[in-house]
Amino acid sequence: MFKQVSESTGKTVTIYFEGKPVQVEEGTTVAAAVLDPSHGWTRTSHGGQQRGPYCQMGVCHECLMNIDGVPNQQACLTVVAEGMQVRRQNGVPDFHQEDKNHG
Amino acid sequence: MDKVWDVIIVGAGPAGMCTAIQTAKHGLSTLVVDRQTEPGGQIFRSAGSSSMIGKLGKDYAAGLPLVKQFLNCGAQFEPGANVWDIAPDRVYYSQQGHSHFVRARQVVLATGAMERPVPLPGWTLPGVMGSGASDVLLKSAGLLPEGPVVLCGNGPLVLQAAVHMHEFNVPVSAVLLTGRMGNIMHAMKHASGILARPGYFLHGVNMAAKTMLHQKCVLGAHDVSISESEKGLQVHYATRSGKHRKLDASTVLLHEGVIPETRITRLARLRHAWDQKQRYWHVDADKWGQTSAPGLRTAGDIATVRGAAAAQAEGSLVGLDICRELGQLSLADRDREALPFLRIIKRCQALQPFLDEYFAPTPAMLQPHPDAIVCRCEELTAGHLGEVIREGSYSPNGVKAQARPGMGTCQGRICGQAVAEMIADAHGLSMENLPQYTAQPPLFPLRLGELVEMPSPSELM
Repeated sequence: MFKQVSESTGKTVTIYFEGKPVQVEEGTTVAAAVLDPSHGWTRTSHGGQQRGPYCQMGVCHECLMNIDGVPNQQACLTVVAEGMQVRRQNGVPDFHQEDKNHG
Repeated sequence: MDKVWDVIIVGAGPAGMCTAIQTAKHGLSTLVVDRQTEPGGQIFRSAGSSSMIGKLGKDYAAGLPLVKQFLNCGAQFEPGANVWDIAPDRVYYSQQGHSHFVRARQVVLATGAMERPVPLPGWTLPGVMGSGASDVLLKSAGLLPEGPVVLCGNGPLVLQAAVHMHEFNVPVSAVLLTGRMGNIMHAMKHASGILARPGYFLHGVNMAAKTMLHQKCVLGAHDVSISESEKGLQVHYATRSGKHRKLDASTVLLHEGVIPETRITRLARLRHAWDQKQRYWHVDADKWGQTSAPGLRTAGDIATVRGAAAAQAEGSLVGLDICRELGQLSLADRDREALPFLRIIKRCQALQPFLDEYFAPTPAMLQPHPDAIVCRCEELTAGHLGEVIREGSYSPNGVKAQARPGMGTCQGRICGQAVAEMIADAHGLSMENLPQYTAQPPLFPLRLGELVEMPSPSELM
């Protein structure tokens, strides 16, 4: 669990993590925004292990999530936007799903 | 014809920003791309917008004027632009789900460093992250772990994190320091370097003193592993006298120093060199950032990890020499303008041997326990990879072909050096002679549709 030590800017957006609304500060990355709601795990490995962001700077790829229907998005490099739908990416990415989204 | 930039700089950290400030000032068209949404890199992460800017000390506060100067210097800045291929005169990047192709007379790679990944059992568990990752969350989002925290590792960033935890009242179970006690003896041989940067040195001593005073420190901790427990996480370690101990934590922060992130420079097939003290690969470049490939330069930590002050000076020198090469500055003017930056680098170089020895990585830490997952993407343990290596794999690419480490989404950024260290140890080879994983484009997972949609160079004409 994480705590906010900075003062709120008062500017927030609502995103949805696994369908549930989460209010976060504008400009936050998705990886930071879902730290607590996700209990620290944002994907499962192909062997089913729970994993969460390790580096927060775009290197480790542990934060890959499904953002607005697009899988394999680096949550630590993606900034929140109003109404954004964020889901865990479980197991092996579903490439057929991606085809449908971009068909 | 499509635009050809004078300079494209990849990375808007301290080095990249300073290169751009010089080239833009001297009238060169300059494009800067960075995968983050704001300039600053990691050390000055979010410095332009962070509400933490006045609360994390003067080192971080120095980022704000630099970011402002950069944003007003006349260079074009493209945020959220993730570079996926590179050549001496061109850069391919993805931005908002669309790929772009840009050309330049000079390309500068100022992509910086990353925390050295040191696999240990349980480091893949949720709640375990890099100490630098926690620092990024603090700077960019004002977030700190609620605690209890266990900090474990070696390097100035461990001390900095320990001080931050104290200042913001985060309970810390212990700070496990994994550096060797004997390092100080080797470091003292370079003690004269302290005189070159007394203020910087005293700042470090101050952080160490605060850490010792306010936190429970365990010197020479080893055999560290992490497991899940009812309360969250449990950290197991051995003390210097060999006693086994346990600590409860909700967050574990690991840090074993900082190494250049060379995937992009290996993709460009640049010549690299091995740093035996700090044990990392870095780009072999001269003081003007010129690499083994004409037209392709590096600036900052990608060439040698010396921190923000040196990176800014190096970036400035690279910028000035590009101005000379492209005819904006005479050789004499370049040399005159370079003087203050060369002085800064000289001072940084003088202290660096002391720091490199004092914070030298502990060899035992670099040989992972058999239960440790080395390749996080493909879930491969050190035990399994060790067998493959001993059966007759003598190079990282060989192990990759045999057992798949480095074939996942991070493409070997995390496991690359750990696998090489295992091979070197198992077969008695020197790291210097081990070729690293071959890097191929794209540098990160890319939607095929993006490639199809990207305008080809002929369409741009």
